[in-house]
Amino acid sequence: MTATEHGAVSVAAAPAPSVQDVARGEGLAPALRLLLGGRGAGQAPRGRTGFALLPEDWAADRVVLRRYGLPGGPVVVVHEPPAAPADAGGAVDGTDLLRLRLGVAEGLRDACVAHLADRPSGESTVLMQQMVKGQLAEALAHQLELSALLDSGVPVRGPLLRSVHGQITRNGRALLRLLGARGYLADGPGAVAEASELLADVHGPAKEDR
Amino acid sequence: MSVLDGRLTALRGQAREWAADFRAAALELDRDPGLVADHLDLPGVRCLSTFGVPPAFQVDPPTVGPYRFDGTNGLERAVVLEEFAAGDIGMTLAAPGPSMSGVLVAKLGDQEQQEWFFGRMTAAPTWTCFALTEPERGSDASALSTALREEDGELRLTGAKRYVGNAARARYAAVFARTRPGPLGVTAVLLDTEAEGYHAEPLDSLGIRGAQIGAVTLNGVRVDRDRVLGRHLSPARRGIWASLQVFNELRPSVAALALGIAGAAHAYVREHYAGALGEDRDRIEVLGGRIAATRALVHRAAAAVDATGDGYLASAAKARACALAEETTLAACDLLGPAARLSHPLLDKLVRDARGVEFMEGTRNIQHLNLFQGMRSGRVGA
Repeated sequence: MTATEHGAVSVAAAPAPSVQDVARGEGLAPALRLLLGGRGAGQAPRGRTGFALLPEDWAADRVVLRRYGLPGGPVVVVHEPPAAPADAGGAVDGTDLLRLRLGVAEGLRDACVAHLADRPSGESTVLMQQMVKGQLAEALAHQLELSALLDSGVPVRGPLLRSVHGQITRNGRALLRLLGARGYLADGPGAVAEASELLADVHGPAKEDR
Repeated sequence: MSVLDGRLTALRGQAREWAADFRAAALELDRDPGLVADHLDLPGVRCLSTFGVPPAFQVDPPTVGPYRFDGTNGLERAVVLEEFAAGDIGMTLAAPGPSMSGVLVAKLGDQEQQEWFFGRMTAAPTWTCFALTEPERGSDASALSTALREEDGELRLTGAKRYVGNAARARYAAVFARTRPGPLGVTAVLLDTEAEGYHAEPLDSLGIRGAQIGAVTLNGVRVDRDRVLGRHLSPARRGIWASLQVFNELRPSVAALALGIAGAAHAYVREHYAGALGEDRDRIEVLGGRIAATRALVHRAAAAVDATGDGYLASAAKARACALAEETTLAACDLLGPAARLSHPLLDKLVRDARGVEFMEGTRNIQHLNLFQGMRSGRVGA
């Protein structure tokens, strides 16, 4: 609030984009930067087995095990055996990671709609096929439910955390099936989903934490 | 009750033995699909190089014990391909041989065309590819736009194909094209890929990288008139009808490939999490039961295609097997805990490969639509 001669006036700063929105609209690498931002490249957290998925420019001196050239910038998988549990900046926030992955899944839905609307089928488009409409609606409903869960304040940890990661993975795959073989190419939407799945793999809770 | 007799059981055992070689080379082939050329002497690869060549054209038909087999029967293919895929689907699909084109040639080719094609398959390991899918039209044969036209007294092929396995390494390609509008205007031709105007390049895929799926452009490729498949048949039997028949015959094989991946993931988790207890042990056991159930469906579907040519049951088998492959590979990761994919490269490969079978032979939606047609017509589930 700012005091003026006319009284208090709201000066609302534009809200910072959420990690979910960035993942959906800009890509995985920008969302990862946002998720890990406060820590700096050298302090990016690894999973408990030492693997990490990072924007490529954050992996400067590390051995890259795998690289994904994605919209928004490349991400890479690196590995350094952890010297101590939860070293290198601590663990990734579980809920934030879910939001990032949900944003990726929402971006996949956008990609599906755009692609299928351009794809001819008979006198119409693939998008307008009843079966396709139904599956997109089902995927959307699922995403809305997951979004509501994350907004609800219900603690998502242990078995529920693992389950939600699995649900996001399956949601993404259901969408990719609608893209046919295009969803299986290394330079297409499937690669974004693949990297998102690896994020869950790296930072998934261990059995004793579930 | 299994539909496998002693002969098929023996084949299964032999294929499982050969598949161990595939497993050993799986990760290096995944990194570099070109390495398949270094594995042509593996018994399983040699088997695939003539698998599907009809007995009349076999020079030295493969045998297992007292049994001959040639891969021209759907149930036989399902049994062998499940085992090979459990070894490595990448090597299975990277191997030279008649593959899908062989089924098409056996169904549509006249005597001379079969001699020409299968003769080349038996003379030396030869890669082939099957080019139906198009960039904007998918694998809907009725919508394809690649054109076979008469120009200056010659047949010329123009168009583009995409997601074609082995496209860049194939010496011979079976290509679907259109001679005129309408369902009777669809036909298939055999091409020598060294012909001028044929260009293929690999596409980088997330899994099944050994198969090196590719994009093909056809810029006025000259086609010999005697390489137009089914030239002795009526247009009604060499166009869309033929492509559907081929897909019906091959669908149990794709289901078997998916089943092999599921079986490999199940075996992997049993080996690497041998001490599973309680819920985890139950989960692994249930997965094993589901694999057995889907295998029974795949075999039943293959037997049905062999008996009647109907692919409805095979659609159910393909859809279920692909779903099972995905679920089993993901469950294996879940059971093995954090970073399972990155700590277990072979399991990671199975996860990536499992997604790929979905797109072969039509995705789940296409299979469900086909199954619905079968249900409505009373041909399945009645």
